[in-house]
Formats: sequence, structure tokens, C-alpha cells
Amino acid sequence: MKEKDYKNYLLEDFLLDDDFRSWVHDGDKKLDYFWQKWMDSHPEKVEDVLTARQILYSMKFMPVMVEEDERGDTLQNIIQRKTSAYGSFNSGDNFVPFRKRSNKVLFSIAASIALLIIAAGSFYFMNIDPDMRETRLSDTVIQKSTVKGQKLTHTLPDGSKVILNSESQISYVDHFHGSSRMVRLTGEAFFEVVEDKSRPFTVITGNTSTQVLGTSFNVNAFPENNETKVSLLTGKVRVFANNEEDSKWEVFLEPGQKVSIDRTSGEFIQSRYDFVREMGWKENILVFDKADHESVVKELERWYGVNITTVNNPPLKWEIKGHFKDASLEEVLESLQYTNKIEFKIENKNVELKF
Amino acid sequence: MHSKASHFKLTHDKEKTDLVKFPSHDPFKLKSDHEIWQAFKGGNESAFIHIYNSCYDSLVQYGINFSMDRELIRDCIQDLFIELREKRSKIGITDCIKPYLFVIFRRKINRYLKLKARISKIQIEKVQDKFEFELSFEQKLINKQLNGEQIQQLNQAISKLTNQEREIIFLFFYEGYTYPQISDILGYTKVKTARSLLYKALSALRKTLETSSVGHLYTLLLF
Repeated sequence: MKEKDYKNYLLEDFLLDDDFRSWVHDGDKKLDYFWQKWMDSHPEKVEDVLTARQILYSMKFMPVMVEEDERGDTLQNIIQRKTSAYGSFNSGDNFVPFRKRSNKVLFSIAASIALLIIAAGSFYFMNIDPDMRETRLSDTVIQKSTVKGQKLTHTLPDGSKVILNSESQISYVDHFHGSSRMVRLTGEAFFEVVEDKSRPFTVITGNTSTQVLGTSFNVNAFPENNETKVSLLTGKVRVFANNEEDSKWEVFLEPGQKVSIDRTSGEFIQSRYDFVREMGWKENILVFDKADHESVVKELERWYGVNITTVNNPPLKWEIKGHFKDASLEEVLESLQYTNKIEFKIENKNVELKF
Repeated sequence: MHSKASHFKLTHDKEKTDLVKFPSHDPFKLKSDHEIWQAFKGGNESAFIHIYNSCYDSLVQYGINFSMDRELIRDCIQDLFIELREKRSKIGITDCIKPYLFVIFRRKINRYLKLKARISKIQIEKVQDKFEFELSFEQKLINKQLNGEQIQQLNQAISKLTNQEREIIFLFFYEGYTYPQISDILGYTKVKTARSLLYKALSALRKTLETSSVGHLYTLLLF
């Protein structure tokens, strides 16, 4: 071994010296001899050598214990593409190779592909079982969804209650393991949350999240609407944008208030709400509020689980207002018949509407 | 001093911390990172499993320095590999897989931690913008070498360093990464930066150890 200028070495120089480190780590007997002799002839450096050696030993740190099960379960989730709740907030990372950080075109393609896959993935899950009430994908992620004409009351692992409106879906990690309770929602649901100050309850809907400690509120986030609405019945919630760039958007709602979030601009508009209009659905009240004929048709399809085909267009623009509690489709259509000139035919799940 | 050194018997700690268990049939065990990565990009699932198994524990180890929330670390690793699989044909070429994953992991875990802080805002009242890179020596592993008081001294000295200095020490000494790899992980444009920061950190460590009042570490080491 070539003699370096070891006598002028400080502790840090020993620590950073490759030969010194390989002596400590690999334990070469020949080097033992070298260092023993070297220390004998440089007694003033003995302290430094031994300290550096001890520090290098302790640099091994404590290896973290990873259970076989943890590694195996995580691999299963990866293969089944089960992104975590945190991941559902964020679009993915850019996998940029080292020293090629400027290839922006590649990133945007990669990002949009990942997005498509995620969208396709959730579409797949929504469609595998058309009459799905409960799909246990594994022990970890639970999905509940409703089809047209169906509502569902479900109790979450922490005792909180969810009422799911038609054509809606929630998913969450079983037992809410970890430090927070997160539920993903598409469509509309009413939540009655059990208080647990140590674990905030968060509803994630696309680009917005609603967070509570213990409260009841309604979230309306149907994909075809251009807005997401959160209405608070009791307690207190915080609604915020998931995107870091939009972090200025954050509101705290008081009971009786709602916030409407424009999906395009990301803007938050806070206002008071009408209970029946926003939460009537869970009391089985069908509500129309200045609805045009297209939204009436869409709402009836969703509410009664039917397919409606329309003939012609109404001669005048519809602005339907009204509540129907526990009403049948026939009753609703009959009452529409009085005020607006329509004809209808109901055959099982198929309805024809003639304006 | 001289005599003490002569009596000092040099012993080596043969303990290896090799926790990763490969299946005996792992066809990639002896392949280079370049070959493994190419196979993975070409859709080879055994190559993926090999990468996953050989990096999982290291990522956890790196992760616990950022946060003790093991679930979050696990989520982060899980999402990283999901994305890696989805983008496998699009991602770049690398000859060093683990440091490449460290780069992505580091960005991701910092984002997840920010998100966690945002989510927990109601409880903790203020958002933590700065995340600590913790580093500490454990007595259990090295009890043959240092006693509790000495480890405490070392840890105190380490805790006086900056987050970045601690992280560099971890990457260099624990993971054995080279200066260029460390620069990539920490996002330095110049390799020199990593080298000089590490040197500065170790000098600071030495100075703290030298001025430790009670039981000078140096003399304690000479049993």
C-alpha cells in the first residue's frame, strides 16, 4: 500500500479516505499490520485513527426491520396498481434519467399516459360488476358503488356513516390504517363522521378535498357536472384544493354554508344553501331547481335507474321547479305532463319522452 | 498513548446487514444494473421483481430518516413502483438503479410529507414546511464499540449538523454512493458541491466532538 500523507490527516480525512474505509470495512489482515505499525510510529495520530474507525463502524446505523409480509403485500398492491391515498392526490413523478433533465416533451406524454391508465383503471372497476354493492378487491381497498336508481347506506370502519347517491362510488383503505381516514368519492354522498381528533377524516374528490374532525356534510362531485359542491349540515369542515399551486383555495364552512368549486377555473364560491335542494336526495326527495329538460332527463335516469329516449325538443326552454317525496317515476312524469306538454311511455326500464 | 495503542487489538466487525433475500432462482442475481434495467424496460417481470426486492429495504431505510411514519413510506414506495411499471418503456436508461430510484423517492416522499402536513393542518395548527432529515446512531448495533454516553455524544454532534449534511453523510457512508450519484439525488449541478459539503459536515462533527465537555470521546475510545 502506497504511503499517503496520513500524518497530516484530520479525522475527516481518514473518514473520507477510500483505503482507510476499505480497511475498516473489509478487514484485510495485511492492512491491520500496516496500521498497527503506522500507529506505533505516529502516536499523536492514534486517537484520530481509532475514532475514525469507531465512527465508521457506527455509520452502519441500525438496519430497519422489514417484514417479509410487508414487502410481499406491497408488491401485490403494485402489481394490481393500487395507488395509495397520498398518490391519488398527486399525478406521478417524472422519471427523468440522470443528467437529461430537459426532455419536457417526454414528461408530458408520460404523464398523460399515466392519467389515462388511471382513468381506464377506475372505469374498469366500476364496470366489472354491474350490480356491485360491495367489491372487496383485496383486504386493503374497499369499494362501494351504486348504479342508477340505487342508494346505499354504508358504515365505515370507524363507525362513520355514508349515504351514497345513485351512480356514485367511494373507496377507502380497510380499517383506515395509518394516521388519517381518507375516502375517495366520485358522484355524491352524505357523510356523518364520528369524531376522532387524532385522525382527520378526508374526502378526496378529483382536485378538491374536504376534511373534518366530526361532522355531517354532503359532497356532490358527479364527473359530468362542472362543479363540485360541499354542503355542511353540522360541525366544521375545511375544504381545500389538492393541487399545491392552488393552495390559496381553502375555506372553512359553518353549518348551513356550502362551497361550489368550479372544476375548470378551480375557483371556490362560498354561499348559503337550501337543505332540500342539496341534501333532499338522502330523505328520498327528488328536487328540481330551475332545471332544463336535459338535466331533468339525466336526473330521472339516475334517480329511477331507467334509460330515457327523447323525441323532439320542448318548444320553450324548461325551468322546472319542484320537490317529489317518495314519488314513483309515473307520478313525476304525470305531474310534468300537467304543466308541460309531454307524452310518455314506460316499458320496464325504458322510457320514451315526447316533447 | 503509545503503549495503549500497542495493546489495542484490532478486531473487525464481520456483521453484514444484508437483509435482502433473493429467491434462489433469481436469474438477475449476477447481471449488471444496465442489463437488469434493459430487461425491465423490455417488460421482463423477473427483472422488475429483482429490482423491487433489491431496493425495497434500502428505500425504507432512507425513508425513515425523513419520517417515522412507516405507512407513508410504504405508500410512497408502492406508488413509485406502480408508476415505474406503467412508464417502463418510456423511462430513461440507467446503469445505477438504486440511486436512480432514490432520486424519485426523495422527491415523492417530500411531497407526501407536505401533503400529510396539509391534511393534518387542523390538528397541528401550523404546516411544517421544513422536513427534518434525522440521523442517529443506534446503540444496539454497535454496543461492542461504543457505550451509551459515547453514542449520545455522537448523536448530539450529528444533530448540530444541517439536514443536508446529515443526508449526505447517510448517502455516502451508509449507502456508499459516489459524489456524482449524491449530486444527482440531491440535485446539485456540480459534483464539487457534494464533496465540499460532506467535508464540511465531517469537520464540523470533529470540532463538536473535540469540544464535548464530559468524557472526551477520544480518550473514552482508548479503553
